[in-house]
Formats: sequence, C-alpha cells, structure tokens
Amino acid sequence: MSDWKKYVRNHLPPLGLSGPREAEIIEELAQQLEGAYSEALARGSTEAEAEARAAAVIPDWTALAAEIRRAERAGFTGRPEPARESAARRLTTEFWQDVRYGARLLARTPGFAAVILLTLALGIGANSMMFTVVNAVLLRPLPYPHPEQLVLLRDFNHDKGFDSFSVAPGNFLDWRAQSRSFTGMAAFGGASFNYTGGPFPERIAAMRVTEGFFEALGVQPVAGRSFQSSDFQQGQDHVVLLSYGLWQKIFQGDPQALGRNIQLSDEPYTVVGVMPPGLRFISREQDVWAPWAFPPAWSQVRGAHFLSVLARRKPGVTLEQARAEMAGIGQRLAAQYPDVNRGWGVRTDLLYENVVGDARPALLLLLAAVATLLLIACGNVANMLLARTLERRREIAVRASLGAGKWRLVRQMLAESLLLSLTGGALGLLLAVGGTRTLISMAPQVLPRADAIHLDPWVLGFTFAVAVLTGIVFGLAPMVTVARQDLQQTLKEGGRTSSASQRLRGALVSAEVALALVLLVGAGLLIGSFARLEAVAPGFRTERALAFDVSLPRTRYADAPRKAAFYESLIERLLTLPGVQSAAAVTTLPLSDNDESYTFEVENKPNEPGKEPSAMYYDVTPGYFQTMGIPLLAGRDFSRTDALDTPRVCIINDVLAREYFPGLDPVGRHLFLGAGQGRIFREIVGVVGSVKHYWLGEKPQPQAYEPLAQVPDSGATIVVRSTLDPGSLTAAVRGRVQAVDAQLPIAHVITFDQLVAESVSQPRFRTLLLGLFAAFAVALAVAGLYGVMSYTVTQRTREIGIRMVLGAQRKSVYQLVVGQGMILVGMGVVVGLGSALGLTRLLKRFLFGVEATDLLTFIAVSALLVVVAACACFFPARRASRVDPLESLRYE
Amino acid sequence: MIPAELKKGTAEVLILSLLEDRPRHGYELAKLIERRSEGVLEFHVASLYPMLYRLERRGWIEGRWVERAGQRRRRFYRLTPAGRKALPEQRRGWREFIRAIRRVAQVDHV
Repeated sequence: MSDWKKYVRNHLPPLGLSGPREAEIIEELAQQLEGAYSEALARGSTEAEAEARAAAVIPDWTALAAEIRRAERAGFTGRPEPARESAARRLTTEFWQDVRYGARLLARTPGFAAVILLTLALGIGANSMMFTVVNAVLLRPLPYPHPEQLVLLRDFNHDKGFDSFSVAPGNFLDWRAQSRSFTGMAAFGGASFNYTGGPFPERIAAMRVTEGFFEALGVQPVAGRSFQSSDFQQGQDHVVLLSYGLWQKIFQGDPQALGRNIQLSDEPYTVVGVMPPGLRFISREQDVWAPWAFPPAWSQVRGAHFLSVLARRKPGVTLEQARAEMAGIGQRLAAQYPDVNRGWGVRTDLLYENVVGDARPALLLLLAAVATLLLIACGNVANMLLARTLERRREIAVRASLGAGKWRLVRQMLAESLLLSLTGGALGLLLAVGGTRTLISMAPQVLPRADAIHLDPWVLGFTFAVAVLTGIVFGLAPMVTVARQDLQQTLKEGGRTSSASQRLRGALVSAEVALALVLLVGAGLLIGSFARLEAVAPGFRTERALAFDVSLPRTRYADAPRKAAFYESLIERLLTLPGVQSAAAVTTLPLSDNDESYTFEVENKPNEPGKEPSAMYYDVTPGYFQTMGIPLLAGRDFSRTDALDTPRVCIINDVLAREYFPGLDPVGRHLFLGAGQGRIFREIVGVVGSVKHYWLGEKPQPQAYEPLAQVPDSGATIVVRSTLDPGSLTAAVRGRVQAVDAQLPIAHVITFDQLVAESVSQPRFRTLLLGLFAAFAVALAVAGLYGVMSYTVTQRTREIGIRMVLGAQRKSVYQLVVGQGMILVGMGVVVGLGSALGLTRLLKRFLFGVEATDLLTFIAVSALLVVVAACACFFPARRASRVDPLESLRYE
Repeated sequence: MIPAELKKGTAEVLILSLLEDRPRHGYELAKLIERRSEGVLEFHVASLYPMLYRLERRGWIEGRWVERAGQRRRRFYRLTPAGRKALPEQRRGWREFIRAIRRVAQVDHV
C-alpha cells in the first residue's frame, strides 16, 4: 500500500470539521498506519500481512470518527477559535465532505452503485435523447429573421374534405393585391432540373418562387444579387440563384461563376447569385432557385390548385388579425366567383406549424413516455437507497447521537443522491449522444430538421436540471425516513426494519407497476395498430419491383408524340434486360408523396355545383397494371393503339365503379375527368382494383387512369417488375435510360419494398420507440419488485422459519411471498389500468384499426405484466421456502 | 477489567508524562506507551488521537507540524505551560487512586 492517506480518507466518515483540520487529522492517522505497516515489513512480514497489520490499527472507523468529533467539540479551549467560516463556505465545505463520504460508501459497494448508475443513466439518457430531438425539431426557432412573422397561406374546402390544399394562382394574386396584414407575400413550388454539366446527368432539386419571396423570407444571397422585378417577366426568367452547396460542387466556390450560364434541362440559365450555406425551406433541400413568371392567363385560373404561398406579417399584426383579414378575403372571393370558389376558404398558419406540426404529437408522446420511464427509474433508485438507509440506520443514529443535527443528516443524504444522479446524468448524456445518432439514422425522413439535431448547451442544461431534480426526487424517500427516524428507538432495535418504511417501499413498487402498465398499454395499442397497418395490402404486389423517376426536358421533348415515343422506346429496352418481366410508366406512383386529383363527371349525371366528386388521377402506359400487380376486374388494359389519334379512353377502379355506377357495368360508359383539356368524355374500357395512394390506412377512394400516350407528361415514374433482386437492377436500368437519351438522369430509385416500408416509417418510428421505452419501464418496475421481495424475505427469514417449525408447508411459504408481491402488483395494475383508460385517449390519432380502449390490449398487457411480476416474486419465494427453520432461528 | 474512565485517565497522564521532557509525534507516543506499559495497557491508537485532540482543545498540549530535511512533516506535540502546571495535579490524583486500589486489593486478599 503506497497511499495510506487515501486509505484513511476512504474509511473515515466525515468529521464535520473545517477542511484543513480534517486534512491534518487524516495525515496524522495515515502516518500512524504507515508506521505500523513499515514496522511490520521491517520485522519480515509479507506485504499483505503488513497491510493487514496496519488495517488492524483502527478496527472501527465510525467509532473513531465519533470520538475525534467529540474531542474536537470539547468545550474549553486554551486557544481562541479560528475565525468563523461564513455559513455559505461552511455549507460548501460540508457538501464536498458529504460527497466524498458518499463516494467512498458507494465505492465500497460497487455492484449496488453500478445498478443505480445504470438505472439513472438509462432514465436520464432517454430523456436527454428525446429532448435533443424535441429541442432541435420543435423548440429551436426556424432559421430566418423573425420567424414568428412568417405564415403559410393555404386553400381549404371542408365540403370536399380538404383541410389544407394547394392554392389556385388566381386566388393568390387576389390575396396579394387585397391584403394589408403583410409586408410581403409570394408563391413557391417545387421543381426539378436535369443537370448535365457533371460527370453524368443528374436531377437537381429546384424551387420556383414569385417576386418578393426572399424579401418575405428575409434571406439575402451571400454573393451576387437576389431576384429583381425584371427576372419575373416571361422570356427574362432564365436566371437562377445557386445553393451554396451546388456553387461549391459545380464552380468550387469560384466568384467568377456569377453571370455564367449553366444548362438546366437543356436550357441556359444565368447564375445571378449564391444563397447562404445551409439554407433550406419547408424541410426540403434545394439546389437552385428560379423565378416563377406566371403566364397572364393564370390570373383567372381558380380551379387548379398547385401553389404554396408564404407571407410575412407586418410587425404589430397578430396572427389572429391576419387570419381574420384572409378569411374575409376568402369569403369575398367565394362570393365573387361562386362557380369555382364556392366552398373554398383561406387558412393562415404559422410557417413553423407547417414545418414541425406533423412531428409534434408523436414527439410529445415519446417525451411523456421517457419522463414516465424516468419516474420509474426514480422509484427504483429510491427503493434501493431506502433499503440501504435502513441498513445504515445504526450509523446514522450514531452520527445523530454525536451531535449531527437532522438537517445535517438530510443534507448528507441529499449530497449522496446528487452524487448519484449527476454521475448517472453524465453517463446518460453519453447514452443520449449515441442514441440520438441511432435515432436519426433510423428514420431520417421522419424528423423534420433532422440535420439540426445535435448536442447543444440547452441539452446540457436540460440534462443537468433533470439530473438534479431526479436526485432530489429519488433522494426524498430516504431523506424523509432519516428525518423522521426515532434515533433512540433505532439504536435499541438494532436495525430492524420499521413497518412504515416497508409500506413506503411497497407503495413505490406499486406506483412503478402502475406507470409501467400505462406505458405498456400505450405500446400495446401502437404495436397492435402497426401490425394491422402492415397487414394491409397496398393493392399492388411489392416484391421484386423497382421504380425510378425521369423528367423529360421540354426542349427535346416538346410535343406529345416525342414523349410517347420516349416512353415506348425505353420500356422496350428495359424488357430486354435479363430478369425483367414487365415495365411501364406512371405519372404519380402510389405511396410516393406525389398526387394528382381531379373532379370528374359521369355522363348524363351532371354534378351539383360545389359538390363535384373527385378521383385520384394517373397517366399510365400499357402494361402498368400487370407490372404493378393490380388486378384487372373487367374490360381491358390500355394498348398501343390508344393514342392521340384514337378515341379517348380511361380505366376506373372498383370504388369509382361501385359508387358511381351502382348495379351497372361501367365498361363502355363515359366519364369526364377534369384534367384540363376541354370537356372530353372518355370511354371506360376497364375496371381495376384500388390501390392505397397516401398511406396504407386510408379508406379506398375513387381512382381513374388515362393512357399516357393521350396525355403525355414530361415527368413520370418508370416501374419495373423483375424475377431478380430489384436492387441489383439499378445500374442496368440507368444504362438503358442512357441508351435512349444520354442526357437524361434518373432519380429516386427505390424498390417497392422500400416504398412500402417508408410509407410506414412514421408509425414504425413511434411504435418502436414507445415499445422500447415500455420494455425498459417494465424491466425497471419488475427489478424494483424483485428487490423489495428479496429484501422482505431476508427480513422475515426468522418469521418464516418459525412458521415452518410450526408446521407450515413449503407451498404455503411460496404463497405467502408470492401473494405479498402480487398484492403490490395488483394495486399497481388497478391504478395503472385506470390511468391508462384515461390517457390512451391521447393516442387516438396514432391508432389504426384499434380503439383507444381496446379491451384485448388492456387484458393482454396486464396479463403479461402480472406473469413477469410473478416470475420476479418466484425467486425470493423459492429462497424463502428453502429456509432451514433451525438455521433461521439463529439468524439474528 | 479496568473501567473505561480509568483507562482514559491513565492514558492522559501517560501522554502528559511522556511529553514532559520533550515534544513527540503521535506515532512515537503510541510506541512509547506500548513499550513502557510492557503491553499491559493495550492501548489502541484509535483512542490515542482523539485523546491528543482533546488535550489540545483543553489547552494542555499543543501540536505543531515540523519538517525535517529528507523526512515527511510530522505533527509534534509539546506541553503548554497550562499542561505543565496540570501534570503534578494529575499525577497526585492518580497516585491516590492507585494507593486506594492497592488498599482495597490488600483488604480483599486478607
């Protein structure tokens, strides 16, 4: 042993003296031990013997500390007292003494300390992790000046079930002209360009914006200029602002790039400026921004909704005032243009709501779940500390009888709690950093602003605050016990447990079980929902199929025949690929976030004004249904003969057929789809099964298809069905596209399995996390139960022994112990079920196919919890049943 | 068996006596007590130091850290004038006590 000072410091309880005096005493005692040690060595003892010899010098450290304290407190002194320390300094000194003492105690029981620290790290870490996410996603303001002034304006039409809808350009122009609440208002829309200047053609993300967009957003270019009025004149609109990233990528950040031309979708655009690094808008990343010059005719377009509108409120105009003004304008426009605007209104929402609104409920749910988890962890730690406090009652009583006041003892307990919780918090922070990273990589598309998620001072502060609070909460029970302890009684009792503290421990366990059950019910409901959602057939076959996007530039594909020829030729070539069974093109792929929807009219059945039915709309090539695996229920598929010069045809789904042609065969009848090329009634040539378009849980809705050759679109998704692993096809597919058009990039390559998986990524994310947290919660609660039952058995060994001497069977001992545990569990389950019944209502929005009060789930999770809890009681019960009656009577 | 009070009293006199001729440090005191009582007074260090502190608080002895070249510092205790004045009184008290014990013991023997 080299450091006897450390040895003394580790063994001597705090003396409650000034720091220097205490150090002095420690040094002196250490010298004594060292003397004994060296002496033993000199006499020829081994090192171990010498150490034992030195250790034997002071057999009872607690008694020694008590004596020294009494000696130091002795009334008369020949010397003047050293100047009194200030109260604050004394408190600090004492606090550190307490912390050191607590650390020493814990170091002596490393297993105990490790379990507590792990529990706390888990509880606090989960909270830090969720807070890191919530902080970045929900709490941090949007990265624009005065983000609270920014609003998003949308159309809505409750009659048609559209709570929030894109804006028609005619309406936007009227809003901008008539409103007074805003300093600026501009429309924007997503777009994409083919960029062919790189090593291979690629698709870049663009945003088209109308005049005043960046002024409203409050963002200026870092180089060059922003858009000016002349850029929005048709014919002069071939200018772009580059994102900082694209500027670095194409021009390596060269300032000479300004004024240069780049080819975007085969057209030259002049670079006028570079935007600041990291600029993104509405969660999407943009590579370029281009002016959106409206054709003059758009001022009268009110039936086609495809714009998004951003506005900045004037300072002093409240959201309510802006809302009221826009609602008024919406009503005026509805009255002014009843044929198109009836039923339509304007909704005015904070931009922030649009960015994070969808993510908020799930994140708050998960935050509540981790808070519950932490409460359970606190319960466990409180229980462990309480048990130890009971074991330490003698020590505490001795210290109290030596003059340590209750307040002083409580402070000692508090210091120990804080030591634990802060260490646990630090470990938890490490867990949180790793956990957050896993979380983001698990579900990047689930979390808006995911790129902004990182550890920051707020997270550190939160973790610290939570740790301190946690320490106080779980330290409370032991502190109260100490404060209420009848010390004289304790000394006499010799450390037997009082029934009050035993009841407290039982209550803590019941509370833990109740909280765990609430989480478990929530997780059970989400898991049930998710299983049902996953079981939903999307209406098409998902195995071994691939999709990718192409976008035809209008320079080379100006007219319909050229576009049609491209798709035909591409599909032909794809079919020559080994393993490819069929291929087709579609304008909006189901589950892909893109949609097109139009009102329709059945022949001879004019719609009531304002009550036009609408259908999801798809342009497809022949073979689409076969490729997708969508069943053809009646009639025929499109064929190559359905072209521009042949009669217009369409195919509808079973829902549209059933609802609008009840009892009739729709094939051969006619339908007008408002896709915007005049009032052409198309002949229905077939009926197909319906597909899920937005998400798996949606109700079946009317869907209609037209041949792509009759309405050629510039952009489409190509779907390929293969006998091979679709993921291996990407390179071959790209080669075939390039063989048709060497300048054409492909984008968004995805297998159907991925497509479906991504469509349920939100529910999977929250189900997985809540399930995980609930599992932790149950594990902690059950561990707590096990701890209490083990302790009880130890405490009651004598009683059990007596019972057995008096003839009790092993079975009845089992019953005694398990029964006692199950009473605690039962109370927890009752309270938990009651709370869950009230709380699961909050889950309603996340549930699919399951009621918030689903009886089966409630029963199943309760049963699960009870079984696990019974197992936890089983082991202590077995130990109790094996008590040797005679041995146990000697136990004391 | 010697009552604890007596033991304490004995030890106090011992310490004061040992410090009479020169200052000594704690370890030295422990060794000396052990040797001079020939092991009869099994004197635990655990009580030596509290006793030193008590005597110091009482103002009879005074501890001071002394550093010697090449050695670690040690706390040397020496008698204060008050302690020096108290020593004869303490010794007298003890002598009387021991005499009384002896008398009682002889009576017992007879």
